Amino acid sequence: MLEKNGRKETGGYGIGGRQSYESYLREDNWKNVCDEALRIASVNLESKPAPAGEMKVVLGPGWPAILIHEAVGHGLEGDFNRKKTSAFHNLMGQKVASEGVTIVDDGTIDNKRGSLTIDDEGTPTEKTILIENGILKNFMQDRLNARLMKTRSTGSGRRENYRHIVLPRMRNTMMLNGKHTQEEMIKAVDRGIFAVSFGGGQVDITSGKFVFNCTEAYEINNGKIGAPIKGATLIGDGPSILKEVSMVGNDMMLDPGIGTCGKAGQGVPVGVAQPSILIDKMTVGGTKL
Amino acid sequence: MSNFFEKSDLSRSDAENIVSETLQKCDDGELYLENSKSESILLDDNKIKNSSYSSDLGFGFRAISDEIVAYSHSNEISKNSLKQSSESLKSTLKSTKGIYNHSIPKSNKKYYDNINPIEQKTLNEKIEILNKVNKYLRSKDNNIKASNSKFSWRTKVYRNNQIWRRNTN
Repeated sequence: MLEKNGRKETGGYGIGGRQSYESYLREDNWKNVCDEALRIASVNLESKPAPAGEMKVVLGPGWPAILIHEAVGHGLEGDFNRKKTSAFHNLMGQKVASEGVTIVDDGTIDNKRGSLTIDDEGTPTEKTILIENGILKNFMQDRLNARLMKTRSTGSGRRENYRHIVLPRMRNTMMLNGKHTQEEMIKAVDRGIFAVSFGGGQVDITSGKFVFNCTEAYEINNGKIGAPIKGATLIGDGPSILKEVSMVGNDMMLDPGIGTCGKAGQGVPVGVAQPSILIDKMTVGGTKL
Repeated sequence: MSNFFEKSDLSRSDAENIVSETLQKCDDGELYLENSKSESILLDDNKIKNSSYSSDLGFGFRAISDEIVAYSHSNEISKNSLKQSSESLKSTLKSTKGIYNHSIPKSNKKYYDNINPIEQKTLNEKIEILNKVNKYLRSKDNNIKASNSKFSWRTKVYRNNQIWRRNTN
């Protein structure tokens, strides 16, 4: 927490994964974590009230993919689709996102927080293509839902511990690279915001309706990144947002390894990744009209 | 690697017999055995304000028929405890007519090492790192009014359908 001229702001950063202490506790590694937390707090110390209204939003690469995880990924889990409570349940093979949008759930990335050698039912993990170039291709399945939906398990059966039943869950949920640069996206925005990182939020995981709080964001005016803004919230629903993606970046990043997904009272470690993306229309909740 | 039957009156063949007998008319199910350890240390405003360590051992026994799931779990790995769970599952699914299919694809691919990071450093070594982090942060900016840093680790070992693995996160 930083304090300057009576104003207090916080910044936080973390790293994680399925690795030994040694990989995290190298001096250069933990110093980078400290520097990043301090940088975020410093940026927020200079922030001004966020604008409000419907506008273009550029999401930065990496952790902002938590929005995809929450607002889209849960809707692609087998149980919600078998029970027909997901907005995607009758859309298999149909266009559900803009062209160029490909989303996978990948448990096979070495040492990542969401990776699994085998899932909690013993099924080897895999890279499951969920949406390919805008077309819905697969749901994530455990053995129960796969059998009832007459398909195969995707190695997505997970449980928090032995006290809990298995549910189909995400692993590392990733939007893959497109062809645009982040600079092109910023230049394409007359008035909007650039959201770099998110904190808490609320999501209805079956409908995909969400409210996310930005912990680091900047205004964009006339194609240029402006001042940092405070108190911006992004409001929308996943299925609609997927169709508003007009540019997909070429700078995909994995998150630093801090995500824990909650579903039915069970928390499991997950990862997310995405490149920068431009969303043409999104509601931003702020205090400056 | 943990041996779940080492300190129990339940042998591996006992467990396999109980599981086979319980699931014979079900569509699916498994016995899931887990041993996990977790640790968390929080340094807040120059002091260790929270430290926790926990170790947990137990099983979850699941039987499935059509879309009905019967589940029983216990933190006691014993013959009696597993038999009680079996009775509970059988009474829930007494009219089932499924055919148990236990086939699961096999793979030798591993995406992380079987290590337990909690045992790699002593508590004092971990606290020393947290103090270094705190000192480094406070040296970077005079405007820092508060800082906290935290380690949190969890190791899980489980056995399921005769496959071993260890998860670290």
